[in-house]
Amino acid sequence: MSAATVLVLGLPGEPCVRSVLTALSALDLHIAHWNPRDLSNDIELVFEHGVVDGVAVVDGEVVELRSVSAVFDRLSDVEMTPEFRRLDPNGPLATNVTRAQSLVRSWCDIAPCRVVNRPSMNDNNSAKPFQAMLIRPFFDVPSSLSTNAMDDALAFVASHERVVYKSNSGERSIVTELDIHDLEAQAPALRRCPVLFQEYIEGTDVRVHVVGENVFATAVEANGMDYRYSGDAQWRGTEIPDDIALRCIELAAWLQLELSGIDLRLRPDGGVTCFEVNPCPAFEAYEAATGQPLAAAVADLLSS
Amino acid sequence: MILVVCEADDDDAIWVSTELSRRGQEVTTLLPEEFIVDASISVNVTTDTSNATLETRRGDVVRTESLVGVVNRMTGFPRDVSSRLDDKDLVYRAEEIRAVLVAWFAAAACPVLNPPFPYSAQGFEADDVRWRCLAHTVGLPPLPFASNRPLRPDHPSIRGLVVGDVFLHSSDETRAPRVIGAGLDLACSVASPLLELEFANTEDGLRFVRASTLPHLRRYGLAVIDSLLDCLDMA
Repeated sequence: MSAATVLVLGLPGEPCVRSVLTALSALDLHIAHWNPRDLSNDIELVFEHGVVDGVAVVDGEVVELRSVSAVFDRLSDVEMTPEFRRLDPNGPLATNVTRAQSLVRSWCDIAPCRVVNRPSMNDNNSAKPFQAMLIRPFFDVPSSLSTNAMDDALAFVASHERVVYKSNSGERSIVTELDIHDLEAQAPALRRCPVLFQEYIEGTDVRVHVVGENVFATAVEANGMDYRYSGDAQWRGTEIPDDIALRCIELAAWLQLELSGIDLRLRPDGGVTCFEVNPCPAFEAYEAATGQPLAAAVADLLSS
Repeated sequence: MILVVCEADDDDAIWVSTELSRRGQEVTTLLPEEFIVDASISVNVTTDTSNATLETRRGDVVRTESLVGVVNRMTGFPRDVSSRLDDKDLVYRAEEIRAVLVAWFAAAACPVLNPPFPYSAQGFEADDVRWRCLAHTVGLPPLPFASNRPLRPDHPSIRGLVVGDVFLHSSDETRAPRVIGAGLDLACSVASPLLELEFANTEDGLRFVRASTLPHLRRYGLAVIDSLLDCLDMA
């Protein structure tokens, strides 16, 4: 029987993968690292008598899947790696590499161990208005309109004092306050592509990372609408009331996320609005800014 | 109104649409492309409510509040390839449309058979091994899976169809209460009230193989229409 193994999937240069690998190395664990740039990684899966099993070759090492006790999954598409792009896309190696990637993703969804996070649980964040409907039982969500119809957009803008706009999907966009004149000028573009309009919510931005049942809150103060792109953003670790922390834990559990980054705004009226739940949070940046031991918490979760 | 969304060559969906109309139901049938080609689409979400509207190119207006049921048979999210956008903008636009469409169906308060998932227009999708794990979880004995063995079983296939809380049979083998109960649980567990289950008839008995959210409906006859109406609470 092999020793219990923690499997880490992802590019070694990806900051969160790097920090989790570093944190794991401080623990007495056997670590296997599936780097998508290593095209010799392979896996075969078996499901029989109710047991998921199989074997993987990871970084040249044979890993019995039944020995894997936890997985940290930040696997990016192997097709994007320079090593894969050099292959004949119709050749046997490329076929096997894509097959292995597909199988390892399948296994992450069914593996009988802790997986941070299972791939199929990451999808909700790619449809923000849909995710907002999932968030509603736990937090207020901003009044939102997703539309390509100018009349509907104008009516929405007229019914709210201030409005921001952003992407509906996981495509990166900068949250921007809407100027009504800009909207009218962009009528042809809006017709072609729906936009997510959202009421502006006053308050303090708080990013809450939920790691298992541990909560790490970071308050962010910035002048811009989107603190990610604001050069003057001030990040500091903060405490949030227990009831809000509990709701964050419950929301993450409802979405079956072992690790999440929940974007809240604490309103002056005492209420809390939730904008979205990120299933692949770039927690390393928050750790660097606040000193919160996020990678260590993830490593602890993987080792528990 | 019942909304049926299907591809132009989806004979099963067109048959459903026709039979529902024949029973006096108001049915609107749309192609997936009608959600995006010269259409106006809006989805409102607040803490308390959600609703959505669609005005198609030909002027049909569909409001989710007016729907009593949706039969979704999209095989993929529609993409408008006629636009003169560069590749990057096309990808962005396709992603935005996908996200809005998922929300559009989710905004409907009525039964949706089946609701699109964020990356699966037809509803819940899984590969064979995941389906078999899910089946095992609800008590359906699955056929063993091995990634290095052929996916197609060497046994005769038998199918059954879940429509809401009804299990329709294409043969007697699926009539065991244990199979029916577990089949209904499986459909419930993947939020897909319209689910066709495929079994292999082995020497050890019935073994679950896979399921589909795009079932062949006509093979179950008019019982499908009765069950759909039951599911939409319109019998």
